[in-house]
Amino acid sequence: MRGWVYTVARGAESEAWATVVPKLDQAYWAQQRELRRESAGAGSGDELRMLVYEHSLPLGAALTAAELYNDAEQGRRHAGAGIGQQERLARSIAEAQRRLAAEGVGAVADLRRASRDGAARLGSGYLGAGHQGAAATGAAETIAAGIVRLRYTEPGSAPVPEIGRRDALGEPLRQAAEAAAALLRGRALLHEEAIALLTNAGIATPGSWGWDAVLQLAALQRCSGLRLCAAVAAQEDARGWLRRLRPQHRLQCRRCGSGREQLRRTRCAACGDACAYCEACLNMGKARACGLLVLGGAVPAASSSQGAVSGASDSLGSGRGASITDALVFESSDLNRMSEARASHGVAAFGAASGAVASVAAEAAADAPLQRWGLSPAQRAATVAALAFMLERQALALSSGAAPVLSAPSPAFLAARDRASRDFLLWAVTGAGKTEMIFPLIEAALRRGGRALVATPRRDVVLELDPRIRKAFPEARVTTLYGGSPQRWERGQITLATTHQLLRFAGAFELVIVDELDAFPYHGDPMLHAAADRVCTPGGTRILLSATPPPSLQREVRKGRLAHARVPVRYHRHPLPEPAVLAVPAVRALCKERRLPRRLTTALRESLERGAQIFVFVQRIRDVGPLVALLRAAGLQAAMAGTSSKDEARTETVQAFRQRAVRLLVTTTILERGVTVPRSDVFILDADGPLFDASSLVQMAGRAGRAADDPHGRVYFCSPARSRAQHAAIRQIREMNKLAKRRGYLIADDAPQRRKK
Amino acid sequence: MSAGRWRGWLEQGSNRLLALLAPGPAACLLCGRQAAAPGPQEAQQSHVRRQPLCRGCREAIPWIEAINCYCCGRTIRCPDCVRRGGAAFVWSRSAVRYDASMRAWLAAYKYRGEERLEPLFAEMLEPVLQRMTAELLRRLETSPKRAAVVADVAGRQLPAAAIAACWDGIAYVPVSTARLRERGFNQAQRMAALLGRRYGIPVLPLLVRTRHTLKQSGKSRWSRLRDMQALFDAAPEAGERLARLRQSRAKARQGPDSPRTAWRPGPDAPHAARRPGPDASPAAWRPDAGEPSAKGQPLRLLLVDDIYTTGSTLDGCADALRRISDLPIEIYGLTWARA
Repeated sequence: MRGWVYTVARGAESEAWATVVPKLDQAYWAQQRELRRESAGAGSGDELRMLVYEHSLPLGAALTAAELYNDAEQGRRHAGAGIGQQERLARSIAEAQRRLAAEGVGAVADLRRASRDGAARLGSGYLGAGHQGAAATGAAETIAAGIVRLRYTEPGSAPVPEIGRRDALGEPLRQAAEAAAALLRGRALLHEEAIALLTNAGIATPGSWGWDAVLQLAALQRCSGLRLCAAVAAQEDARGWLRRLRPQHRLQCRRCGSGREQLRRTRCAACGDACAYCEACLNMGKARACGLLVLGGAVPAASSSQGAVSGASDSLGSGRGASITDALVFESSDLNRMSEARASHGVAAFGAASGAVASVAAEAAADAPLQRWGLSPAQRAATVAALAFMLERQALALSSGAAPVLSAPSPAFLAARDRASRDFLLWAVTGAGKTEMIFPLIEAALRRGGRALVATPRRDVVLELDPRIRKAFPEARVTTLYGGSPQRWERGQITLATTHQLLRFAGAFELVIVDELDAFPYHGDPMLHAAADRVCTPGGTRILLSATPPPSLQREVRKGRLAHARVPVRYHRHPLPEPAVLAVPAVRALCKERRLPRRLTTALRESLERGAQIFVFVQRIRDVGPLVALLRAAGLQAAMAGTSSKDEARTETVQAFRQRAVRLLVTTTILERGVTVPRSDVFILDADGPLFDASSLVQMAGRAGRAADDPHGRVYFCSPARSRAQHAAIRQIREMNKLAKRRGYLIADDAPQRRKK
Repeated sequence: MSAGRWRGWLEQGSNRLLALLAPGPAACLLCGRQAAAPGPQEAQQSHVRRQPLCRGCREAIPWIEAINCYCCGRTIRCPDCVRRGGAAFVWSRSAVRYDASMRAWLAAYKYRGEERLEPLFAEMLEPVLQRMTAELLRRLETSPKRAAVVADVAGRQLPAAAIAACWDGIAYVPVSTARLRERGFNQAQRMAALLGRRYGIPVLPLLVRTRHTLKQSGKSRWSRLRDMQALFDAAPEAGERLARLRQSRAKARQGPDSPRTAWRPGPDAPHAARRPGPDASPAAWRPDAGEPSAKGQPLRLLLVDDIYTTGSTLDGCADALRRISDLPIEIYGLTWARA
């Protein structure tokens, strides 16, 4: 797309705007002028004046120029008078062009040149120097020579005369803009996505105006804090002390935060420039430098238990059932009591919440609503701690200002502190019943008129969670989002989403629950971390769920910087099976020698005899086939199968394993998580291999003993050597068991039994 | 401690440092797995040489090696071409069959906008262009002896100069302005541009689309044919561009060294063909070079598109191209996939 830049001045103050529908902006400012005339009387001297750069620019450049101009204006107000408005705009435009052209991201040389030529046409002669602040006179000359031409226009006079009429904008357009801005709250959407959302919500474009006019008017009027910006734009890069001294500007995708490595410059027919697009989030639509990103304002913080705030402005969200609110009213006095109790126990506001302290304080207050969920004592204690944390955050947000969202953006260090203090880690062992524990949290968020988001890495988990959530909250609007979901543009009180869908939100949820933060898509994907970081409202809470938190989080926990609660015991209140270590050669060697060591076959036979289903984990897909063949030849007399991510009949194989048609399943880490097979034992071969880290081992070990009727599954780490990861995994499991025993969560007659092997 | 041992350590250390700096194996453009070079069995066939592809993706390409329809280059006998009768283009060839995996590739490039696939698509057209040129040389050759030599040469790689000499220009199928704005690029134009740059053939914007039609996919044959009626028109200045091209080509053809003598096929001709000597001007490769060119010499244009389904798009474009000038133009279709 291409856009135009202009400035509007009132008296000594001026601001710049970029637009793709100049007709609308002219009409809008003409109207503003009329209104001012009427109120102040004609000839009062501070009339609105517009300067328009008459050429269209690639939209990214236009938006950046407007931003630069406005930034400079803020500085100028302090510094006093300087160069004229016309020249300031010219400089901003030139600087914007320079910034967008400066970096050739994966560009062929001539593309880079094309882009630089574009800047040259705008007077790059003065760019380099002007940037240094040395040749301001040269800049003026360049403008005088007519390279950057600015034309003064009276709003309403030219070039479309009838636009100046006061009713040109009309009430329908204004209403559409307001409704659109309200619907786009908490969203970060590409241009076409925003249009799809608005169309889906049944808003019609008024008269001859299009969607662009609706969005532009919403931005001009700052309806609900809506902003329009370029989807890929140059951002200041202030990392490192050297950069801080001399900040550089780097292209970045504003939707997913990816930097230049993920950007690609191509010749774009839409803007006629060599414009960059983001390859990292391409699956969610193309974010490009000349495309709009519509940033809705943050969802205002829920200020009362009635939840009236967001409901009023948001027609979609108003289906909130009154009965829920009534049934679950949680008096604010409870909240106060809880905070006081925590304060009296010496828990600092930003400190770690130890489960025990919070539970003492909050148990009485939270007891009644919690009963409904039938939690075990360990689950309940952790949930109460999380609840207390969440409510305290809300109280803090309320006391520190009615609507922190609408105020000016806070300084970076405050924002960072807010980020650090809003996370709460629920460290629950495998099979602890994490899902049940999130219900009371969602309930509390809804009760306060907030919105809750549950993000999980995998689509099948989303689909499996959907009916459970709907059953637990029959009155609430539930939106389920995944690639190709029919509810894509809807908004509910409870949102279930795969992690990629989070890219379409910003500042939208009071409660964000992130499941399996350490699992595959997050692991090593900064884009998803950035997205998960952004979806929370400023006063909101983020609950991280994990059985095996990544080392960085564990470190934060140890240092007391991260609020957390542990659930050290499974829902059936038996200890986790502790892994036994078997010295067994590497799988490769076994397959080569075509012989299994007796201690392995004995253990396998014992497991089969006690009627267990056996998981055998290996490192690599290519080990699966040979190992199955070897095991079949070992005379164990049981049906065996192997599966991996490359297995087309994977679902059927796992199904057969669940139904006990197959007794032994050789698999890779694809079955490491989320699979519950009652009465199963786990053998991990090559447990010292590089692909199995401590969390992976803990997760695999967690497949055993999950059912209440067979809580003592067996786990074997089979390897030629003992690795650090194995030690760490065993230590983690033992620590959790010890903690469970100390807190008295274990069923009394069931001391953890060590098996010697 | 001895100096030798120190040196050994230093060497080891520097080697490790260098290993850190060495680029890793390239990732497959499509699936991100480790890329692999084409296998030996592929050496004789069409393949992708420069773009990194993994073995799986490489083997998934359903190259069209043997054709059964002279007109449209299909692998089976084609009732469409029989039904249509005379087309406005001479004949057309495609690189691959449009199967499920190719559909996915094209969707990633065209609809999702993964423009990094562009060079891959362009490169996939290269073997077809090679074969098209060879076929053309063979068909246009009148003397049977020379034809045999050309056939022999054509079995191997034709030099780029030969290909450039054979084709006067590349045109491409246009998309509507609205679609261009939405998508940001015209896939046919991009492929044509890369191909033109590779072989040094001028790429010309000659056509525009007059109406904005719905997507072609999901339409019946009849409605496609009806839609294509008068859908394409000459771009502004198309006539002038063609006239200029014609002039420059005529000049190049009547260069200082007489082309007929520059390349006289003999027993050693294949060698000369593979590595044209300094005296073998590109024009020498033109089989009909040196003919009187005042009016009779037709311009030979390639018309590039992504998919050939019924041929109606190519036919419409070729028709529009021929209407641009009254001088003769020969149009040959080159598409990435044959549905």
